[in-house]
Amino acid sequence: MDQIVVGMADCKIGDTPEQVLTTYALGSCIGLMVHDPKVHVGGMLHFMLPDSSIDRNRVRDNPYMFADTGIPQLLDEVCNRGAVKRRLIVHAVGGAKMLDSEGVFEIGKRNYLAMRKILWKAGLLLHGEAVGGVNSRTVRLEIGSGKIWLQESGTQRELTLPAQQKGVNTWPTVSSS
Amino acid sequence: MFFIECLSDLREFVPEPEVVAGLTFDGDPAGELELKISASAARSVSADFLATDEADLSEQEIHDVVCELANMICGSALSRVESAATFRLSTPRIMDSARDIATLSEAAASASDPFFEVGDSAIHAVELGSGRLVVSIHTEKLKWPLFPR
Amino acid sequence: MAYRVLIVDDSPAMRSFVRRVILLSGFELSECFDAGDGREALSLLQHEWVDAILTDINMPGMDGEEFLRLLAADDVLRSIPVIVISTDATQTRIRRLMALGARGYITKPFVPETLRAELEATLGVTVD
Repeated sequence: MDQIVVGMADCKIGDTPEQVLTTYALGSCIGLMVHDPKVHVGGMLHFMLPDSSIDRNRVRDNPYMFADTGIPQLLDEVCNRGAVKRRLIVHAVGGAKMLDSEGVFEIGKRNYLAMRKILWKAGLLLHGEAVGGVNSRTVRLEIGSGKIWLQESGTQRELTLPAQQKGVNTWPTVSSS
Repeated sequence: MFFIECLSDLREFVPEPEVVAGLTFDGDPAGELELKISASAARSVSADFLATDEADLSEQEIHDVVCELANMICGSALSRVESAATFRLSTPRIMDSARDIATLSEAAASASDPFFEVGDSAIHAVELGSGRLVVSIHTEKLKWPLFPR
Repeated sequence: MAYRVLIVDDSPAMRSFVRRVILLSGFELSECFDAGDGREALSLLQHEWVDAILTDINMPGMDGEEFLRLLAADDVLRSIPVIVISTDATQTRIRRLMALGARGYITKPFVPETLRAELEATLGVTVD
């Protein structure tokens, strides 16, 4: 196993099966993971804030800090390494309600909303998510299998089953079938 | 669907171009809803909803999205009301700010019996990232129905 | 497999939104028909076959509930699966429409993934 750590305001791409992308301490930040199961290429972005217009200077140094600059960057990079956008399996983790340094509680929710908007405009739907709440999370993406491991409150669970399994969705339906 | 993030309640009124949508509803109680959104916010919200660039939007497309926003807010609010009757919402329409608001009230009044008193109303105003949004919902309680419907 | 669907809603913005969700969900569409109310939809169904119908409830002319009732009464049309998309979240309404044969019910506003899940459940396939 070749572990690649994704830091805060950071983004990494994996393109060999033994690689595992990991990011820690997702509080109000969001870890966005994309994976192409056909070519086994995936990426993980750890962003902290929703909107880069508050600090244009920071964007030049680090586009990964913001949802609106980081997400398009993640998609570009993963596609440059051979992934096809249409095939991407997408998961999001984080966006918890945390007391940040300014005592403002809403960053997690705003990050989530910004991410949803950008994914919609980019033409991507989510396949799974573990967001909100009050706990910090750690998450791992296995490039070989596409599996995502979530650690929260001392327990670990798999966030998703491999894309090959049919009939799996996490959104509740009212339908009779 | 609308990705609307409310930043705060309104502090002060600053005039700017607006898009206004209105609709009426039958039910128990009947009433009307009016939604006013700054033109810049209307364009931004519409671009998000339709997943297009702001520059590529037609005025008609913006009007369609604002009407749907009014429809959704009204429908969602009424869903929470305990009511014997099912609510029927009219198709929202874009209104000319000053004149049409009177027309909307008249339409709502003529749909109910002649004698009525104003029932519950609610006005909610918020600052969005790109402007301002005001929703007012007004219901009419029947006091002395002359002609039962 | 390419699907033929009919979207019934008096809001052009909503029809556009729903169409985009269907496409982003991975379903290939050979035809995507639009109708502004139940009457228009029934008229279209006289000469076009569709694999699924997605309909609003509150519409001028013929509303979604009346439309569903007429579909259920037709020997041929009743087999087309219908997903209702409406702001009305009351249990009374939902039960009534499911009893009329709706296969799924989505409350507005909704996340696109909810519609994808309903489509997959209704059309009996998942798309990868």
